[in-house]
Amino acid sequence: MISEAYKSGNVPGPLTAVIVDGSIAGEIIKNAKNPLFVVGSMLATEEAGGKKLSEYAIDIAKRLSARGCVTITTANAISVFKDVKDVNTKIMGVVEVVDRLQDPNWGANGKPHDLVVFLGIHYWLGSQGLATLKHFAPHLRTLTLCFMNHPNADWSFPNMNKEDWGKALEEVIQKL
Amino acid sequence: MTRFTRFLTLINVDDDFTRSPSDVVQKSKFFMRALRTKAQKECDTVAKELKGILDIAGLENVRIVIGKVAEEEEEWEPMGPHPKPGITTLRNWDFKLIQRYKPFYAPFCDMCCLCTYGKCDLSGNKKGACGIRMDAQQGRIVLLACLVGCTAHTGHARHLLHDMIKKFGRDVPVDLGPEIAVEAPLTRLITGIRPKTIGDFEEVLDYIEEQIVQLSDALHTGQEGSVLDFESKALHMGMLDSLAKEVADIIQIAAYKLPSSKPGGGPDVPLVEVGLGTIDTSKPVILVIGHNVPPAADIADYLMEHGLDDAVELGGICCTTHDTTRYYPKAKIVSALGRQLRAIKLGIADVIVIDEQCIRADVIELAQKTFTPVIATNDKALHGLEDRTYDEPDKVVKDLVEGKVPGVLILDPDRVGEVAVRTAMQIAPKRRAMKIIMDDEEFQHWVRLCYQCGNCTLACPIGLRIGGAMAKAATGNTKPLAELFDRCVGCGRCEQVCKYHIPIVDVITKAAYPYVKEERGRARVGRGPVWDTEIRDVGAPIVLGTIPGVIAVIGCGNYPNGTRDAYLITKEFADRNYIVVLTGCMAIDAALWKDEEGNGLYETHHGRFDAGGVINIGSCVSNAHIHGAAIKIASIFARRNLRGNYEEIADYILSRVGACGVAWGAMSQKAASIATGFNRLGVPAVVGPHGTKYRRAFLGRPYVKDDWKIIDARNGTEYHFEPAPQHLLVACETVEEALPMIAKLCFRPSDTDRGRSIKLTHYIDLHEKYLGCMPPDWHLFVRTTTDLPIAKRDELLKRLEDERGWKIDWERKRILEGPMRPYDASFDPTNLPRLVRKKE
Repeated sequence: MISEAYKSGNVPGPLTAVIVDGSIAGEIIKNAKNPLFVVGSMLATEEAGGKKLSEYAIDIAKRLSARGCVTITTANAISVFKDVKDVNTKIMGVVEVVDRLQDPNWGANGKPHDLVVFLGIHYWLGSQGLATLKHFAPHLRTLTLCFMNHPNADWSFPNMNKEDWGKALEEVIQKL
Repeated sequence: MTRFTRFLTLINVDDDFTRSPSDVVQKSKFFMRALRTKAQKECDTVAKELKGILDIAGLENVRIVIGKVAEEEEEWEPMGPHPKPGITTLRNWDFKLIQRYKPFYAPFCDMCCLCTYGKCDLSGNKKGACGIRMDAQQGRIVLLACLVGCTAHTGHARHLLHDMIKKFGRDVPVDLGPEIAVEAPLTRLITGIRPKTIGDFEEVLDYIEEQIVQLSDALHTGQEGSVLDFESKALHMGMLDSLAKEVADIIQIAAYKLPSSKPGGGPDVPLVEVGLGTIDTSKPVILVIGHNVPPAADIADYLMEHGLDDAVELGGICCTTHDTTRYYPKAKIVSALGRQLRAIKLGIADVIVIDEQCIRADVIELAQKTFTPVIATNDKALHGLEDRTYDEPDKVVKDLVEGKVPGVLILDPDRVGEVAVRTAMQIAPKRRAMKIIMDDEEFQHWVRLCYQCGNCTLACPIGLRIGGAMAKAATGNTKPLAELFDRCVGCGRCEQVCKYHIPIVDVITKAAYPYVKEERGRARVGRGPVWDTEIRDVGAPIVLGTIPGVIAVIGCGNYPNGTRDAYLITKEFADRNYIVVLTGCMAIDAALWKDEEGNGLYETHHGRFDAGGVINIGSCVSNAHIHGAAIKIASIFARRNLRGNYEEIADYILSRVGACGVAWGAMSQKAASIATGFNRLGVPAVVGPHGTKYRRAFLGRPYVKDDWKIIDARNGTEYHFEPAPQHLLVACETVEEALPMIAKLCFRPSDTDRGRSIKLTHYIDLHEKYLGCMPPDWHLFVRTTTDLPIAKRDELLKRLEDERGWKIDWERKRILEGPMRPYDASFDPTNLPRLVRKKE
């Protein structure tokens, strides 16, 4: 599938993301040994498919927590997890978590990660963080679940409207 | 023996030198060679003796060239170890910084396109054809950005110096008033020069320019290859940038008598109007855009000399407007950079006068659409206009008023005022008869034409959802469209991609027009340098931590969510008794918002450099005075020598001065060099999410224990210490994340327990207020019980015991075990072993 970068000027080079749908994204997460879920500030403001984005994020985080995985909340994303139980969260800035992920031995749960899944990070900050991982973290694969195509990820959703985004996120959840 | 023959004797030229005409040429050559080769000291001594006495009237066929007469300098302070540092002089200091705050790279592009081997794909940190890796290439691009920024400030400074020497002479005294003795702290610190007149800055600029050339050379293919050395060079460039800014601002303060510590300056500077709604368009309007004030000053002079100051509006955008109001407080600040496109498109200006930096590249095209002539005044931004500098003003004005030319070039700033004012006065009645603002019918046409393809959102730097707002406007609800006005960064990319060529910026502005007309705030005029007497009052509380920090709110307007963040950041810290200093666009944008009583921040907070102050320092080049304030704390409060002593002073600031820069909307290359200059001096900075596009952060790793070692200068004992400050340059995602981060970056190892308690109180409180929870790392900053916020002391002690396993003596409420290091009120932190006074 071909999709333009969400920001039309964001053409980084020859290595760009493979576009995936919700079902494949779910499989990628399911098959990862120790995925890290990183969620950002848009959780507090965005909606998808008529639901709050935070509801999808909490659902995914719960399922990953059941596997012993950690969810990193960046910026004000922690606010939506405040009263949520059964989710293992940690607070870090997105730049700080990306910095740590360059170390192949680091893991938010003590074990090295093989996949990082981003959702709801400010577009350019997310894009730049993904670029860091693309170039300096060869041990990692990256997947974004935002409605915006991120060429710097290994796998990305295409640009999509909010309805389709909601459906894609539901598909991810079903696979988990 | 005459003085001249004595001079010749001293330089081994015989005294019959002038008697033999046949030997004149040969002897002259010998004489000049001797002058060049003779020991400098001897020549200087003789030259000094001869100064003003040598009679050359009787000499024939002799040319004497004296490059510079060196005068013995008053010994005002011992010279430090590093006057006029070269590229490698401060390299060890840079490596200390980079060791603790490692470069973090976020490449903006996978390619290198700089030579014909390329394009080279560097993805995955591959090497390119020249052997450079992706990480070093990022360091190279950072150096390039700092170069561009530094040359902008240096070019500006040099231009000002030329203009001011031409206008006022080189002997204009550098006199900043009775409250300022350390007139040029960066100049003293970096070059070892104490400037007495503006002409003394020639030597300073010579030094900067020479360094810039050497640093730029390192960018060439086949030069530097090391990440660390690219960063060291970028830090050097940043330091030069800070120096150039100081030179520029002091020259204009001295020459134009801008506010300093003379009566009416400092905290007593007047308030001026800010906002698009402040311009009275019933009068002719001149809009100045850029950073270099002489043309605007000439306009102000012309207005005053001709009694037109109440008849013509002089407004400005960006830093020129700061400096114009410093010279002429009747001028108005129309907007910061972010509103430039809209201010031009609104057609409020009858004449636009541009100088240099941050001017839209399409200014002529935009201005033509509103029938506004443009006067370009600086050789760095000529915009294809014809040079009419020395034409008769009558002819130039006529051509502009009649629209025969879109604009003209007038390169002598002293010839701009007459043309600008007369053109504005003559063209204004004509322009008032023209329709410039979109009418309701046209507005409805455009919003109905939009079919929500989303292209504009994809092109928008912050992803504004314009299509949805257009759809609502088509049904009569213009509020969502109007609400985009402030969040819009004003780039106009949306219009470039609209398939129906909808003038989106104009449509948004039309929707917001009722609010735009009411956009009126007030800002204190840029006050320039912080006074030495103020530093004496606040030096101790800043170093001890009881004034929790100095927050420098600076830089451009590429905000992630509108100008309100500038207001929020300023208000939050000023209300908490931090000292908040502002410059540039953020100083303007912070003035646009008001409290419930209708008062702006400059009206509700004092303008002293003291706790709770909201201080407009001035334009971009005035940023140097923020460096200067930090330096003066080391000099005036701590009595450290400044002269040629950069490393020691930067070490002092990093360890003791709780200052943090915030460039929330950093956009330009100048912002890159400004931040890098702050970083080398030991001042950390926070940028907004777009700041990651600078490609590099300096991040500390608190979990790497050995990165956090510091020496007690009393005895050389080395300690592991808390991450204070944790980062040197970091981007935050939202303002809610940035606020506690800014507070965190004000921790310093020198904090007293009382100071640390105050800083920790604010860090925890801001984290809880904006992120809804305790910060996960608050315990790192606790050394002793009294470091804890008083109101929460017992609760936090319990948490340390329960969550961190610290041992607490509950009877005496003392921490027995747990902190990274003990608290010692006499601790004298340094990163430089050479400063240890007595080794144990």
